[in-house]
Amino acid sequence: MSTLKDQAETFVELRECLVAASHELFDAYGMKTQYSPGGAIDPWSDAVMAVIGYAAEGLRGAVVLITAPHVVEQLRPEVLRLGSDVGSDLALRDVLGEFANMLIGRVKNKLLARGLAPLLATPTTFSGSEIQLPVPRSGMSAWHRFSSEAGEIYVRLDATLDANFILPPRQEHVVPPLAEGEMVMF
Amino acid sequence: MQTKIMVADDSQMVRQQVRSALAGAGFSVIEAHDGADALSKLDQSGVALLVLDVNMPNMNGLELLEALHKKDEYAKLAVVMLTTEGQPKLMQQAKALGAKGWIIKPFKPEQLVAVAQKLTATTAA
Repeated sequence: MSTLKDQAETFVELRECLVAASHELFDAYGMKTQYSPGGAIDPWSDAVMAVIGYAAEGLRGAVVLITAPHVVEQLRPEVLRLGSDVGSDLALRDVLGEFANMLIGRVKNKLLARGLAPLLATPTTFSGSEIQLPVPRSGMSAWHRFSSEAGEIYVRLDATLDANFILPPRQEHVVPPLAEGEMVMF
Repeated sequence: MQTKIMVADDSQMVRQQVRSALAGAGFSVIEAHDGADALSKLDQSGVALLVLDVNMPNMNGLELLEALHKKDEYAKLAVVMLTTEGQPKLMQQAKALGAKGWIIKPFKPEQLVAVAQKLTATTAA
């Protein structure tokens, strides 16, 4: 059985995976970001949010992304910025939902190297003003702030660990999964 | 006549990116927003290649692949997976169900076009 200290250390490792994956993803879309832990969400008049759940044996939770609409517009691939739906609520939620999907995919790829293969849900998105997110009633939760020229992106990691859950050490013999942008033909 | 390609992905952004890349290379692109939508649109569509996401609501990509694998009329349909998933077990599952390739998002447009040209040429031969 793991202690509370073990669980806290595991949560720190999961957060490190999330932060690394976030940097990689934003970089891939041309957005330079500066990370700082925690931080309080400003009460924006408008915000877009995406959440994706995950679950593995002994571990479950969610990843939440929240930011302002104009930041989401900056994340949108350049080739799509001239479309008729630019700035529409549906388009903004779709873009952030796909980013949440790609972010959790990158986190999963990092966990695969440790022998952990969580199942991923599909994203749920919404937009509105003065969105408030309650802290989960169980498990651990932490906010991560990514500052860019366009504005702030907040990423929350929620994780509930079973008492017997231990994050396996990195397995050197495991062949790393394909990296983002790579392909294989069968 | 333009070769038809279907993209099945629950993200409009991804569908638009795929459409932009493939339409620019001369393909005709049909969109489906999940596996069930793709299955209903594939019938009589003349699609030569399916670009298929894995994690989708209603029917996911691997469920659709399994459904197609059981139907003789789709024996010549080439399928390439386009997903954030890189889990080897899922890739093996897709391969066993007849998928021809696996691309991890985000994709490079020229990479997707090259794959589409290769797989549709094979299908047409």
